Amino acid sequence: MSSLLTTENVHVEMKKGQILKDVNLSFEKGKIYGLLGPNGAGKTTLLKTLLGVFQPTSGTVHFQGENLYNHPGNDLLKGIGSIIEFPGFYDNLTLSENLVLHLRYLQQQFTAGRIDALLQTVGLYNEKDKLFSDTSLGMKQRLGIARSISHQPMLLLLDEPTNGLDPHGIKEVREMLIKEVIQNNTTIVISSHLLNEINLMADELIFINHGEVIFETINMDVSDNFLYKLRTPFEMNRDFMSKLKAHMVLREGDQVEFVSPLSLEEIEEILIKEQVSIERLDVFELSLEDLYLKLLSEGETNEYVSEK
Amino acid sequence: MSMLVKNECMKLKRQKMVYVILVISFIPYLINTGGMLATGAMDPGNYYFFVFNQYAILFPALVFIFSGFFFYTEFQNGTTLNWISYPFHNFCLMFSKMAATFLLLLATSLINHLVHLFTLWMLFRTETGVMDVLSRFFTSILFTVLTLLVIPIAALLAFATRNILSVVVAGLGSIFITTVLLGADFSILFPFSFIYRATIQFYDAAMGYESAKLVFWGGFLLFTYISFSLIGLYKYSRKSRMS
Repeated sequence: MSSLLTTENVHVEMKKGQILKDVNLSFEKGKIYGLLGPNGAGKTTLLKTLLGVFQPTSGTVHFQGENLYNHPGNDLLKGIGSIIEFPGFYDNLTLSENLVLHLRYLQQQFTAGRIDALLQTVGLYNEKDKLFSDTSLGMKQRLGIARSISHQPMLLLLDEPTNGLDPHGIKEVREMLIKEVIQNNTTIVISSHLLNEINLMADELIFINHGEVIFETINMDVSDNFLYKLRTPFEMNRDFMSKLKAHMVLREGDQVEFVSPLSLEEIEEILIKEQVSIERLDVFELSLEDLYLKLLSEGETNEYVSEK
Repeated sequence: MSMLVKNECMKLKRQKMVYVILVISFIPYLINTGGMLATGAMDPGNYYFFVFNQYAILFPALVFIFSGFFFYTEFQNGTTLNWISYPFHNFCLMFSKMAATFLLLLATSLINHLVHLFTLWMLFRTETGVMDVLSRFFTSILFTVLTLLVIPIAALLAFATRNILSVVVAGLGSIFITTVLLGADFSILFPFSFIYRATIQFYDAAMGYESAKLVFWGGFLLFTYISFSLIGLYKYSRKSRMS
């Protein structure tokens, strides 16, 4: 798999402090990345940085192998579609006029049929002559999606794209985005608080908090893993944890929690073999919600071992 | 660039503000034409001067208000981020908006001047020759073009404050400042009072500046204000966090 987009040591500082800290990420072609984190974690700033409109204080962003910020106003940006924060459009223009304007800015050849087809895709064809100001929040969101895919970008950056949509609309958007990946090998970076949606869509998960990427994992691993909680005086070092195939370790005193794909029997076998005395061992099925809450809960002193 | 300007013009479609500006800009014409016909005080010189005089005070305020409004719509609609993410230098995008503002207000002003001078010619055909009308048209259009050159100042104010009110207040304040400064030589310090005096001299030399030096320095200051605004906008456009 080749990387479409990479960030290297990206730092973003503003007057209010450091927004992004040492972000190193790599996004491969044709994959969906779920960006997860609480409000104010730095997700939107990261998306703006990837969009080429928010220059990092230090570090680089490479898109298709080229530095995104060394080419202001260049054609690289034509390969990116986005909905950041909310889909802003011109209130006084109709839905189709707004799309026409967008495609004209991108110097794309288009026909009225292409605009109609796009609106058809997001279920807005019958509303195409409606002024944007007269549309509902859900329709605005759909138009935002139509705009973001209208020029068949290689990279889609979506910040809460299903805001304001009903469950039916959310499902439609999800299917539309998956289709976009399958048909056009598009890479999608999507941020959402709807964990179930991310779970159903994303190939990989990126957890971000206080501007730092704190954990990355393949989404499938979440459901294929178990959460183990054990109490032991044993010093569990990195080597031992790798024997347990632990993805992540949270340690507080003699309480150790870790995530592993191994079964309970396999874990017990290793613990016996290594003569580890344990007072208690519990195993739980792991959900994305568990992982999210575990990773992003405040006030804990955690140590993470991340193995992607 | 022409495509960017066309896009900006498209954004003006169905904008009520365009009609509001057009209607307001006709106030001097309507008041003076109506007043003259009602009172019967028919004097071609006074008629032209009164309309020009009031228009010259009003138009700069309209330029400020409309420029501020047009730039502010990007913030109001939440389209700024999308706008600056298009593959053009941000300054080109800003410049295209200023160019569209220039074209629209030039057209509005042209309609005003043509209606005004056509009325003048119709009412005073016997006393006013075609050359007189053309000379007055030159005075009026020169005033308009010079006034429209200050659009970057309004644009910078709109971008820096992101507040439509600040631009409206500046526009309305310009009416007051122009009126106060108009008679003095130091009117060269203020763009609109300078433009008024520098252009009215083509209608009546006595109303212009006595010395060519003043015209030179006034022109220099005007050029400096515009240049600084453009530099300010350019610097602002390079700010990575303008979104």
